[in-house]
Amino acid sequence: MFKYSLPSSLLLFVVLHLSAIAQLEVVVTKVEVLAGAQNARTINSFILFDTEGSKPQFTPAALIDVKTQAKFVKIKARKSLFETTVAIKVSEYQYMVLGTGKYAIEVTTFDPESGIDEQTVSVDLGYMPDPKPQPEPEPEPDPKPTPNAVPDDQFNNLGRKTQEWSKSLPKRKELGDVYRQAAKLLTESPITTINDATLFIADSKNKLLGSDAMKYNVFFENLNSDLRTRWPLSKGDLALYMTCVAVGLEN
Amino acid sequence: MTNLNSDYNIAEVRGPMGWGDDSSMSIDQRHDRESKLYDKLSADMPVAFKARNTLIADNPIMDKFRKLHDSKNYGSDSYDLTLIDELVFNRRISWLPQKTGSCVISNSMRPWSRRMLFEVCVRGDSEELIGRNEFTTNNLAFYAPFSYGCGRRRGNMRGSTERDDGSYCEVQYESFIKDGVVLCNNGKLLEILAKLGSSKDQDFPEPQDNSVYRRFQNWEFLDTLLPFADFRLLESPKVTNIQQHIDLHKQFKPMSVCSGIAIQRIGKHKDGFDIHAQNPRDSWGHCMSFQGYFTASDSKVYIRLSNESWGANIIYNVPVEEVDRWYSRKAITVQTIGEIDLPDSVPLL
Repeated sequence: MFKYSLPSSLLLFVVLHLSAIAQLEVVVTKVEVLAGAQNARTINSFILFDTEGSKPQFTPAALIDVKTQAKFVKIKARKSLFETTVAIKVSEYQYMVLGTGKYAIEVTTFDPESGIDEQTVSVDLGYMPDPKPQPEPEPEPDPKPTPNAVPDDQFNNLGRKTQEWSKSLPKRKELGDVYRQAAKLLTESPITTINDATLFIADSKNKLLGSDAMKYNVFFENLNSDLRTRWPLSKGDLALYMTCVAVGLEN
Repeated sequence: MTNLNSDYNIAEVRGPMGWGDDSSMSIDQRHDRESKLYDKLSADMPVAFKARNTLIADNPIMDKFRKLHDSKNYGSDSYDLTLIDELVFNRRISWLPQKTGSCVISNSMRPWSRRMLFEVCVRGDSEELIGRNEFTTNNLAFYAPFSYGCGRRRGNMRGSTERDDGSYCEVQYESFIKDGVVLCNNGKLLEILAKLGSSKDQDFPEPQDNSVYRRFQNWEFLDTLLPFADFRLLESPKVTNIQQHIDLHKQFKPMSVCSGIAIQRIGKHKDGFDIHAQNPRDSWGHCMSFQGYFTASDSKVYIRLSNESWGANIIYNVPVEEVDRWYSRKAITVQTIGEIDLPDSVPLL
């Protein structure tokens, strides 16, 4: 608040006089603001900003232009008596209010010669619903199931089991391709027997895995244990089995 | 339809025969002997003579086999096991012709091998082939003289001269069922054959030295090799009528046929293939094999009667009605090569 020691009659005279000679005009312009952009700059009609650190989003805003000859301007924006918001100072006579809601913008000017002037304008920047308590989110099962790229398949979801057994093992996709090739041999080549196909796998995996073969010991133990429980399989069924293994390794 | 046997007049080819062990026996007497042998054998092991009806599941290789049938312009109701060599090897497997009276084994070994190809390559059983080649110790058949000798011993037929050649279908099948077969790469067999000077590539599966064949038919080496015999015939229904015959062919099950029937060419079908039938003026005391049938463009059915032990491509096309007559007259003894217990595949990935 301004405190002066002038007699009140004299003060009233001065204020009336100054307001007559120094009209206060407040102009409100609604705009849209792109917020959250780091290092924003404009080239022609394009707004550029850095990808890193930016979280761009559009927000309604109001530019408050105060036209006065007074030397000092002060602005308050409030939604209610007790709920104020920050008016961002853009320049000595321009401010900005940001965010949805209906605002009362109180502009007060002071000049040592012309004195004080005030004006209140309102601006509506869109509906802002009363904040309501958010419902508690449903407790999620723990641990949260991870999305699985291997679809349900034959042999009691062998593909998924293979994926699980081979997690973090090297050259999984390449090994998957070996099983896929063996399955193709079984289904397309009449002379290829089951032992031919398994020999092809043995040779190929030895060449492929090299020193990594040891890392696959548990994987192959699991796989062959599963296979033995299903034996005997025909060539066609074994080809299907190998395809499931390939899918598990490739995902 | 292309002529299935276009290279020469196969009905003119004559080779050694060898059904029975006594040429003085009539054909009917030989069938009677077969019948008695069968009665004894089927009483011993009834399960081996029961048909196991096996459905042939569709699979991509079966589709290829069907297309191969189509490529011969066969009708859709056709099951010709003689085509399986072409499916697997792109050509027919042609072992050398029999040189002694070994037809019972020579014309049973061939369908046995084709049945093995069907079980492993087409049906896709979890079993392995016993070999891959036409000849050499790694060939597609078992060592024929051993099985021949075992069959003859079961029928109490002994002798190592040409006069002693011959066997019966039922004793041969008794050996397939009870003894199994010996593979050509068996170490003990190779040791024996090396001493006999009979281990060249073309001495497998049948030796080209007649004296070697006859030593086996005279029961030599059998007991030494029996411990190594395996891969028994598990299913061998005796076929007594044409409907049963057709049903078995629909499962690609071939059969050995022992009979006195001689074959002649009786004409040419409009589709282009030769038609064969019994020659009533001749008689062959011989073993051949039925290996399937096909349907011609006029919907008539022809049985494929293989006599390949006399030469490559000697397969007759006999009208089904003719074969039906043979059954009705009890002119043939027919025993099926059904499921064979082949080497197991190893479940290891």
